[in-house]
Amino acid sequence: MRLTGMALSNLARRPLRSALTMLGIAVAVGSFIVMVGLSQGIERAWVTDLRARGTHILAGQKGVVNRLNTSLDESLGREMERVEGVGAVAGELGDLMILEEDQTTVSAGWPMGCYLWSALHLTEGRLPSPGEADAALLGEAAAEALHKKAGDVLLLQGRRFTLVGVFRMNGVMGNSAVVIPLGAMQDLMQRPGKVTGFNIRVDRPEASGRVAEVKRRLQAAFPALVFAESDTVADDDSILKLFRAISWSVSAAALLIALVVMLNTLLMSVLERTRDVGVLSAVGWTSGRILRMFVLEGTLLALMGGIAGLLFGSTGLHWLLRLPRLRGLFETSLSGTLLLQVLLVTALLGILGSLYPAWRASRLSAMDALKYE
Amino acid sequence: MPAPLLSAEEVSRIYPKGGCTALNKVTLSIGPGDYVAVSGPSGSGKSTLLHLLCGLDHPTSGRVLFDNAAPANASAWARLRARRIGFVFQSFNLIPTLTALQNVEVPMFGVISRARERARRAESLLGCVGLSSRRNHRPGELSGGEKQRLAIARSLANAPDVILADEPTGNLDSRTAGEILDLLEGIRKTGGTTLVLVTHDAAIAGRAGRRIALMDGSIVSDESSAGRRA
Repeated sequence: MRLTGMALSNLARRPLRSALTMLGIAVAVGSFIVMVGLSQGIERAWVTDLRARGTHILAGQKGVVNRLNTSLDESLGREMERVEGVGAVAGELGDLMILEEDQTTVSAGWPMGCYLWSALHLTEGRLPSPGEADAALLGEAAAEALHKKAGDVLLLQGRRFTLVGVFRMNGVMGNSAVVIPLGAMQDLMQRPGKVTGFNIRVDRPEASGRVAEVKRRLQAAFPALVFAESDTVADDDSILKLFRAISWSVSAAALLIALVVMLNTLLMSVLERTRDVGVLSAVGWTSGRILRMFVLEGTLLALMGGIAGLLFGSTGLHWLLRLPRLRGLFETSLSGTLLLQVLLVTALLGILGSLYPAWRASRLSAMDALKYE
Repeated sequence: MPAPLLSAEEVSRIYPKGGCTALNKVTLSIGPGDYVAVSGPSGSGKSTLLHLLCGLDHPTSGRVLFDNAAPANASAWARLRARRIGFVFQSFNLIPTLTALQNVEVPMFGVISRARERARRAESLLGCVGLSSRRNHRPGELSGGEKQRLAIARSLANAPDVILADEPTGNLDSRTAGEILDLLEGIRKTGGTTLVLVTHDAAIAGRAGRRIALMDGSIVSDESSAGRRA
């Protein structure tokens, strides 16, 4: 028998209580996975989408929380193209729309002929022709969910568009998006001549520090705007920051509750096993070894709950992201780093939750413990 | 005369609650290989003396020496109990969730590092006390005599120099009690282990080579088969 085996045998002494405690930890860890998974999922989806478009820098209005609500003059794009190192600029008017079948999607209006269209790999149909105002393209995943194919009619906010093509992009956000010509989007949104941001492609982006340098130049030239590199765009986004803060706060509260549940379970366990602690002391266990055994019990309990929570959480997250309202906005993959973080946090939770009960057990007088009934 | 293995010097134990004096300036020494019975009526201080001799309890005054040295603290006593002192309780004090084999392995943690070696030694000790066939049974599935045999096997886990047994036959019928005493005496004979037995039964005390009688916390007689000591 190893100490781990003894700790497991002690946990099995009250199987229902141990199982309920594990369930509490699993729910807390599951919530953590879902909340943080959603937060990371939308960030990853956005970054993947920008990379797929070939956008290196994203420009938006400074000091706004929701960049989809901003209105920038589309003519600013032509001024940006004059900045050294800028290869191409594409204004974009974007919004979130609910299509048929309750499908939430990113809807974007792009200027005809801009570089963004070339990032779309058509699986059927064609790109809109110049001057074709009622043409729309749909991402492959959205087309599948809506059972649409090229030639079908697509209703956007009550206006009829002809689906001229279906495209594939790298990333869930792109694949669930609808793209229409910028002019049509401006009409639809009643924001003529306006865009919500600019996609900027840098010349020779592979050169070391090149993208950062162009970004600095742009920032200096347009101080009223904010420029972010595609890879880090999510880090500074106000809504995502808020979402991240809420996710972590809710997760921390859930984990704190799990900590209290475990503390209670282990304190009960120490009380019930007072006599056993006396026996261990009588046969020569030092207080340090007794402490280690209880900490090990807490850690094992937490880790078992944590692993169950990982399974609950990842299953729950996958289920959530299959809902039409969410599926086009989040990447579903959970990063290995997050899973490792969760296991580490859970182990830490186990150690913290068991330290006080373990300390109490280790401080018991052998004689008093042996007399305990 | 060999150096004492265990000795008590002017040891007193007064319980703070009620100021009850359980032991009053007791001085004694026990040599290696001795077979000592400590007897006396209930409340005479027998069990208190035994607990003080293994560091489970601490004297209010005086000191207890093991191998001519006073252990510095509770951890030092714990290490001695793990390696050199075996303890047998009247009420067995086995861990109910562990099997017989695992109960015997418990004292070996920290002494024998390899789990396989611990299991091998525990199996051998269960064989010595005739419990090989009960190795996977939990204490709740054993009879009183089997429980005490198991407790004895546990006390032998790390081949101690001394076994302290507190009324080891107190919860057993007379036939089983006789078997348990035979077992303890056999262990003493074959291993040269010192045996200190607390009992209130004069017949059991009579089997020991040395008999110490306590009354109201003081030694009133100390006799050996070779002659009277005190």
